Amino acid sequence: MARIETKKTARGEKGWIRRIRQALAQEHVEEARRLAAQAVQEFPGSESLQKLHHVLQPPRVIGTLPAGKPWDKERAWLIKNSKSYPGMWVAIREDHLIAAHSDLKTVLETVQQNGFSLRDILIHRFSK
Amino acid sequence: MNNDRLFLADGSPWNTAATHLLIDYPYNSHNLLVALRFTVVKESPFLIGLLDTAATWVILPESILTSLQIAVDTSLSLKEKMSSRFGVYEGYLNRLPLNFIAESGDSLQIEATCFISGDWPGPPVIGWKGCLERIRFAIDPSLNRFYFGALAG
Repeated sequence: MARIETKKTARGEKGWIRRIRQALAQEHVEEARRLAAQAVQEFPGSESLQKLHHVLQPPRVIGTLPAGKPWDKERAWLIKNSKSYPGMWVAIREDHLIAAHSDLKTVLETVQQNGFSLRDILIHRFSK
Repeated sequence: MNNDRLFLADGSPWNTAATHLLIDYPYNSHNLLVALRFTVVKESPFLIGLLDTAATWVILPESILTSLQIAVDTSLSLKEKMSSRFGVYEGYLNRLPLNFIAESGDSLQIEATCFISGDWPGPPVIGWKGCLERIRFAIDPSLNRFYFGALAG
């Protein structure tokens, strides 16, 4: 009897997951959220359904941070150089290019080797 | 008087922050019509994201997360395919903190649902579900200015 119960539960979980994924495939996000909420009520012990429910939650404001510096210079640099580095990642700080390379990791390493903090730079990959 | 604050008729503030946008920025054969500065997690480099209310999700190239060593809880991941004008891409949905950087007022931290894709060829996209749907925002095209804040209530 217990085995039958377990089997039914597992099939039920999979059924919910399939329905939620179908809704997502059709970009019916609200339907997917509604299904996920129903599913976790029916199977509160299901880790898979709990994860689905969590990932699909509406966004949540978690706080505020101080304002950043104006980015007028960075915007001006990007506009001026929009065709200069096709396919490359660049790191800029104000109106200065710090690094440019096809590999983002290399760009970030160059930034740090030159004594800049990652939080002070803007990174962008130019189109090819 | 702060020109970056908008108010409702009853005098209550409508937004808490403002910043400039990047408008009509060339990208491949398209333009990033309206792009915004943001970060993924605190203390990380600024990124430029296409503001796209027609996009279902925030889209992030996986290379950004791996290169910045931003840990993603893969146990929370939901593998999916996403159809876009570039084609169909595989990736996974996950929750990440995004920070919309203000030039005046307070920058806003949002826990957002993001589609993270290893082969996404486009720029980061700031989409509707899981992100913009809970942000109050307005654009003044004459000033390239983006006014924003958390939804009231």
